Amino acid sequence: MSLIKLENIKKVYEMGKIKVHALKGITLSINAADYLAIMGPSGSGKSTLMNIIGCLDVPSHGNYILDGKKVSKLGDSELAQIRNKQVGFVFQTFNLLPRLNAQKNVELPLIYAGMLKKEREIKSKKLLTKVGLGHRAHHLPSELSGGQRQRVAIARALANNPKIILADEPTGNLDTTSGEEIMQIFDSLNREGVTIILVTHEAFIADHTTHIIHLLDGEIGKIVASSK
Amino acid sequence: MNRFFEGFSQSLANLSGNKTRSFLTMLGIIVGVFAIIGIISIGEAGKLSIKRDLESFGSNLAAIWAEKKSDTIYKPLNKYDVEFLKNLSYIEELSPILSLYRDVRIENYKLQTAIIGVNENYFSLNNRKIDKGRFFTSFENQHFRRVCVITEGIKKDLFDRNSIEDPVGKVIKIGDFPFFIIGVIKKVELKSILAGLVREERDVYIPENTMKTTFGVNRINYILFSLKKGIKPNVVKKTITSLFKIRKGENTYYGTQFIESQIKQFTSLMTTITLIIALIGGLSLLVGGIGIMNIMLISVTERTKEIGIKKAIGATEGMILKEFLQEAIILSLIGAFIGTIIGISITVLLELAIKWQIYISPLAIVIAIVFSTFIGALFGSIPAKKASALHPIDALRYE
Repeated sequence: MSLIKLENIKKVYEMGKIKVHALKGITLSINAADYLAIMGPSGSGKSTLMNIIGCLDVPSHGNYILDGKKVSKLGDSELAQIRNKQVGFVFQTFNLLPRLNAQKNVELPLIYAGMLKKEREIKSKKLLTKVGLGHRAHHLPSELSGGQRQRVAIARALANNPKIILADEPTGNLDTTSGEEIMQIFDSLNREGVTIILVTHEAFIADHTTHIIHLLDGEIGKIVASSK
Repeated sequence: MNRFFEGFSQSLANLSGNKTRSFLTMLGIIVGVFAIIGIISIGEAGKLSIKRDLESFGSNLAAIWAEKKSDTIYKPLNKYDVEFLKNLSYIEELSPILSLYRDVRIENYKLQTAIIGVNENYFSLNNRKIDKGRFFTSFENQHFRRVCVITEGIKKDLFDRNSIEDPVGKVIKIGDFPFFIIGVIKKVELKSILAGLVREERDVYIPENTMKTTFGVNRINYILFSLKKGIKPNVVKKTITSLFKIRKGENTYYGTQFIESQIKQFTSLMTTITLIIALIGGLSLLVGGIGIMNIMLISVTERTKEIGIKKAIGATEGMILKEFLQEAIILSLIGAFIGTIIGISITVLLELAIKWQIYISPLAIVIAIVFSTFIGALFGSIPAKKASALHPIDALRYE
């Protein structure tokens, strides 16, 4: 059974009187431990698709079944719970909270999951060590480099052991070396069995994945095996 | 509980991120709490000191006098009425009060003043204290002795001013009659605002029987009496009034006054006034609440992105709501705390300055703190609701 099942997903935004069809009927099936890249020009609907998969947004039409559960029917707190436990987000601009240090940032999803302070501290330390930042736990985001910030963000995304990591241009703001380091973390996570879906513009990033989905004008153009 | 403190420290961290703004936001609450505590405490302290002053005359003290109303006739109190009252079981002791104005003379100096005829009970009844010498006795009253007790005012104006030493033992002339001064009474020490209303007495007290025989005064102004312990004034008031109607006739009227009911009336009036002023002070709490709401609304806008991030990693609407609500409540609680400290210090200083008994109303503190928490929750709920209702995608995209 597939982990993610999208059936004829449509998303329509209403900007004043104009209706924008961001997604025009996406049907897609993703299995556990898949490693996918979504590519396409600006405005092709990549981010919208990611947001719907990550339960940040709901489709206007169509069925989304995540791990056997029909997501399109869920309310706010259930969606929040999915975002907290089943999905981990990694953003292009890192989106760390600037006033919290690395460890506190990683602890945040654990707080929402209701984990106690002691356990949280142990878990967040472990996660930071996993991404190679054990020694930077008490630094503020502003005291970290771009690559380090993104690694904190990955540690945060992994906090509640999600099955899926969604990364929206995770290397977009990084230099090539840092970008490569980030991709290696994703590679090893995928080897551990985490499903990874990332949006990217760059072919060499997409080459880390096994399949590339090309989006064009809100529709799937083609799905190709990557050159890896 | 643990989670509460965590949320608390998180809110504190958010608020201390912008100390000046947080402080300015709290200002309304600070002023409101300060006003409530200050006003109620000072009101209560004033009430207490007035009560204490009134009680210093004897809290079970009462008086009765004849009065003329439009539909009644004036029938003065007489010695039979005094006897009648004396025999009532609930009356402890009493004294008739008679008075007239006369010149009082010593050597070549004179002063016109009130001469008051009382019996020997008067001094203990009215809680008067002797400064020098003694009060007169029942014997002296019964035998029409020409003795008198003067007040400190007389001593000052007639003796001290003219460098005549020690009045006790001297003879003064009241009108044409010589009287032997046997004592000086201490002046009444009032500590409340009543002190400003009462001028210093310049009276001369003589035995009532002497008053009758020497000056031919028979009219009793009023009878002062005290109630036995545990007797309720309002019951006595009714009984005595109706007894006097029976004794003196349906067409008469006798007025009565009981210190205990006076104190009650006075203090309840003071309480009302205090509460009304405190309510006005409390209005600034409302204004403070609106201030909190404004700043929290701005804060929601500023932290839109943060809210988006939090939602993306699993915060529910309820969690965001709670976070902002908590901040608003903590803001007003800290304001209330600062206001309480300022309120207590200024109140104590004020009470010291006007020499009242130091009093801080615990009730006022409780009211102020509970009310400002409520205000924080009430006005914080609007921004908190706004924050929690933000759509995660829109919030995340906000720059």
